Amino acid sequence: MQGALAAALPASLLSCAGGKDTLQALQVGGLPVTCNLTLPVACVARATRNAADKSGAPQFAYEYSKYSGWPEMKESLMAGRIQAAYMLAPLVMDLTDKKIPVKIVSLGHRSGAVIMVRTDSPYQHFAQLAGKRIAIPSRFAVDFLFLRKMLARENMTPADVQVVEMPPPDMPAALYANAVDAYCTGEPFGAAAQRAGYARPLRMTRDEWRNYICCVLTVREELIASNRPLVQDLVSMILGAGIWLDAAQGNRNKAVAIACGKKFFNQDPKILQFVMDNPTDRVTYGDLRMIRAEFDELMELSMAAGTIKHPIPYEQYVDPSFATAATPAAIPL
Amino acid sequence: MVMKQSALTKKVLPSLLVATFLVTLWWLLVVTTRSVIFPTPWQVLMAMAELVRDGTLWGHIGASLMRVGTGFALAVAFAIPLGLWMGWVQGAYATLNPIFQILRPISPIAWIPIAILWFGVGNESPIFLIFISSVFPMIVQTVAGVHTIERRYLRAAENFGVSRYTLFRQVVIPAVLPQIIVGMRIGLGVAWLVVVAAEMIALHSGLGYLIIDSRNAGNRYDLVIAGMVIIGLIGLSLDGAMRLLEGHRLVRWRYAR
Repeated sequence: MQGALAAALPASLLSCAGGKDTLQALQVGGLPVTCNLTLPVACVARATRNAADKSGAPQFAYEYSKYSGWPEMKESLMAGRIQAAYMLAPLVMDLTDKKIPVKIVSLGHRSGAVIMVRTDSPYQHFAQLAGKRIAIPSRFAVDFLFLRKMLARENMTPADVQVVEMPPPDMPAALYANAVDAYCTGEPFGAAAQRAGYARPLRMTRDEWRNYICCVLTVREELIASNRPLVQDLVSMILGAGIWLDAAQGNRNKAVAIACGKKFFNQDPKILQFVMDNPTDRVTYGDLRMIRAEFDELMELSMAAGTIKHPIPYEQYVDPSFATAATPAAIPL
Repeated sequence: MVMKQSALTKKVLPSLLVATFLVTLWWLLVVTTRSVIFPTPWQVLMAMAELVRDGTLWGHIGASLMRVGTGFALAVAFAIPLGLWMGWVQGAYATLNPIFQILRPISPIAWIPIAILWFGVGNESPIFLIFISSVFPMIVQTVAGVHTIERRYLRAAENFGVSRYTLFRQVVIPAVLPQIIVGMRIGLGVAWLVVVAAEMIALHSGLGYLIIDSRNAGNRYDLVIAGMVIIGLIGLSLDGAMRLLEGHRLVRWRYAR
């Protein structure tokens, strides 16, 4: 039990910001996926507002810290090298169960996962994938829960398909080379193959599971204890970014221009734009309410998948106070 | 018999003591820092027991050995004839050596996307990655073996007026064999070294897969380290087996001890 106090880290690693002359930016970890799009927008919006701050002493700053895979980011967060990150919701549940002091403080998106097949394949219905090879990022990814949900809907079980785990950036090539018959992952890795012309979505969370959540803003408890105003500002900015993104297609275009930059996703803007446009609600950001029943559902699905062994209390892994208190910030972009 | 035993103790005891010291140090560090992430040696041992109990350990070990064995065997079959040829024929060396020197330093991880395109996501991709990592050191070693044959052996053979074929078969090959064995030992070491990288694209089995899967899970670093320890121990026994080859009568002449 003393473990909860452990994973001690030097206080210097805490990127505290409040009221200091030299404002040190909080590093927020994220993967270059469109589920995380609210993060670059929030970072740039905060920087813009800081630059416009006439008092010359802005209170908060945060920066996007790019990771290339969940394990690396999870390990950084566990070790306290970063204090905040967009994490997979079921992974956070599991981490708190293993005494890692982290809390989910906000959603980051909704929807945005797809099951892709080759354009020239005969698959029109999900049930046709019986016996076929389907790639997922990992058993612990929420995409796998989406796949399981689709299987259950067709009265199939994961034993009816051959599930293969591989990093999402490798999936389009694997589909192209016929190494897999389908893949299930978050955008933009579906759009990358679709835009290239050899793949089409068979199923999208947009149609099947509109309130789908995978990436959630997770912070270490030390950060909550040491700098609540900073966490509050970040959550308000992310909620603001979500509303801004869904308010107008023009805003989404601006977000693509920001996110494709070297500091952020460093991806082909045309592919990101494709995710934003085809259709416009392929990923949504406007409704970032944290709803207990949705987390319960994710937990039950994870338990059925065997990635979470027993129920974990909501209060242990969620701190809803920031989202409750937040007034979505205006995005000056 | 007593003499033999004491010699063995002399050989094994120091490293056993150092290993015990390191494990104790590891244990103490984890306990004193109260880390919730880093497992103790005991937790790692329990993780191994868990793998044994649920029966997956032997599957992982078998899958890794099969992939490494196949990749390595293919590399041997490719590297040794090619290395001999390149060592013997100057034109072949001049032509191929630069290409192999360019390919040699490329990490197997960089080959992953290409491996998926060429071989899909079955066993073939990891085998290819193991092959590509171990083939070049063996080629280099075999070539070096031919290049360092002492002139007097060749001259002596020439004085007897043997044909080029006989020279190659009866002088060059026996002279190069010790170097080939060294190359194979290096090659097998590299093949086993890259098993984790190669099994990043493995389906559901292998020690590399075990490590990657355990990283994807929440806090299962006990399994990660268990996988590392098992890879290390198997690596030690593979190297031991290759050393036995070095003791063979055909190559023994080359070694001082």
